Amino acid sequence: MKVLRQIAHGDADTGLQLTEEPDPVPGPGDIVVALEVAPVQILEVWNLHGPLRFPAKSLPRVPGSEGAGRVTAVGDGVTRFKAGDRVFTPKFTGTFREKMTCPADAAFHAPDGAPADQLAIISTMGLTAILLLEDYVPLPPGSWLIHDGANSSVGRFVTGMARKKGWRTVNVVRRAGLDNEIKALGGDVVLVDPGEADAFADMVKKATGGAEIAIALDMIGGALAGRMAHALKEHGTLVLYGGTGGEPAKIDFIDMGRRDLTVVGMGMSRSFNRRTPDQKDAVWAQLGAWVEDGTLQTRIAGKYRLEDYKAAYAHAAVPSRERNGKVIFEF
Amino acid sequence: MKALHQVAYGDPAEVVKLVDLPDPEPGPGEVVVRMEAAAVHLADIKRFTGERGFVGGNLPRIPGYEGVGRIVKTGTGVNEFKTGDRVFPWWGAGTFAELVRAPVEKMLPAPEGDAVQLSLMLVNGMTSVILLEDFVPLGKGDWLIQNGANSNCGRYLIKLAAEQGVKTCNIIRRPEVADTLKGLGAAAIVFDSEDEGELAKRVKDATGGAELKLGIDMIAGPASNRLAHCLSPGGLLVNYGYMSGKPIEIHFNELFQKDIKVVGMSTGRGMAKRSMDEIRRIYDKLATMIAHGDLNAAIAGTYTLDRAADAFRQAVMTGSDRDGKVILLPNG
Repeated sequence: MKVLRQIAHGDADTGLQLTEEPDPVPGPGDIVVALEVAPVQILEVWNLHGPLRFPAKSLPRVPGSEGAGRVTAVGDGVTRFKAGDRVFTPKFTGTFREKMTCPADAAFHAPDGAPADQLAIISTMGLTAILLLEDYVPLPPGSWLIHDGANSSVGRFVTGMARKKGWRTVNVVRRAGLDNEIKALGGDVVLVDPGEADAFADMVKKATGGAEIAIALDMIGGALAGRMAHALKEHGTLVLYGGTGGEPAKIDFIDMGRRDLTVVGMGMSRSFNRRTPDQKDAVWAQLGAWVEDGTLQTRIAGKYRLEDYKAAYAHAAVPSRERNGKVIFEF
Repeated sequence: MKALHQVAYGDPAEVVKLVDLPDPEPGPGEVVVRMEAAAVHLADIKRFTGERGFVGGNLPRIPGYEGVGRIVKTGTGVNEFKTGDRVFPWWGAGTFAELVRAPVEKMLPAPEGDAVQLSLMLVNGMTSVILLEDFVPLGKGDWLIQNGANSNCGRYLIKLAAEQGVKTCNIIRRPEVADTLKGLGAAAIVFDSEDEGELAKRVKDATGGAELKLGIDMIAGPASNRLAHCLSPGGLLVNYGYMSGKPIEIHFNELFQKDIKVVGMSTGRGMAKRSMDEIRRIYDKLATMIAHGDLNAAIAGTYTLDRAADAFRQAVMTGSDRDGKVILLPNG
């Protein structure tokens, strides 16, 4: 089988190597997964280019943070899966290879009926979105929530899931022209951030008919997080979950104190690991169902075979706005 | 009588005038108090300048949230108090005046003792009690950490916490205040560092690695995040001021890695959660502590009403330029 290995920090020419290796054999409790899909997220590019930003720590290694595939063999004692089952692989286990082993307990069922490319980023971004909604948005149907980064992968998942749960969404984006696309996903209101807190709150008020908004989900941070807080009702909660802008969330003292806001941070692993095994399976079952029924849609910018890893990495390094979707390996 | 009048929003030196007004007469259920001392808070200044969140009510108005004085006249139906009694008029009575007309409904009895010290009880005293009681249950030997520890609330907090056996780790920016705070009962003093890792190390050294579940932030800006960085997993950061003039700054990483939460604080909301009986009990205790010198504020300066502009100028200074609170003495 083919395996991509990172042997050094550098570019795809010097740092990566495609090798031919024997198929893995499952140990007790393990399964072997023939991968169907694995995304080349920007993190993979940073892992390769190190040491400036998120260099991979120990080399050589098989890159690839997530993926999905079919079980081809099971080790002794495995009852959770059988050959032919479709699974999401555990995170950070090296998915840029045709086959891999992993502990059966760490893998989760993936939906049979979904196109493989639509499974690529479910185990990180899909999981983040569903945990945000399950753990931080205890809202009665018809309630509003506001979220920024609404055109990002997680943002789009949030929009789709919120609609399924009967919640209404204010979707904050940074450029015009996304209304139709986001409304098609189930978004109610699409707002271009005006860059100023009072104007922002006024826009939200107008667009929602003065709805009270108890929850804001912020993936960007900086002053935008403060504007999101400013649009919340009394006792509202601002959930930070990405900080992708690199700036700390900046929240007005008056908003925090007078209106009794709470700011929390969502960590995917912590939220997930609070759950019992049954609850974990239920999360994945729900994600799977929503991929199958089209609630969760992943934009694919490019599909590559593992042999074409250099082109895939180059494509993944293109800024997300120009790329407009995910780069994936299909096996 | 002489009184200050805020006539517009803007520079306190220009919008706050010394005026002559007719002496007030008490209505039914009211008394007139001759003010001995009235504290100047930053909130007073923000109301003068019209900072966001501090605008409202009609102008002109007599400013002043709190103070202490003696009753000189009582209206009909007043049985709780008599002429000569020392009292704290309730919040927002407009205390920057020689005489204050106020209802007795929520008026609090004041003990004998230093009027200047007592004039600070209502606002800072209650704020410190709420910070200590309402957010994280702390028992004997538990720690809390605060920045702005040399502020008046910070000092009250040190003393009130120590009284309950709660240890305080106090972040300060001026080394010369360390001994004073230790004298108040501060269990640990830490000099601030712009580097959050370095600050956390100093905190760890000073507290012996104690668990820190409550962080009290009165500075905001990057100081909020630095304080959050010093907290233990699951800790709560409570912001109650913005001495830096900046918004509260908090990194996503800081929150999610250690499951930290950030909340704001409002003394008014904290009081609204309590019955008037409970509030009276708290104020009785605070008044007794202040009268006995157990709670002691640093005083930067005292001013008569005709020098109010100087008082307000000093009130906005920071650091060693204003080592303590500014107090008005309306009757000299």
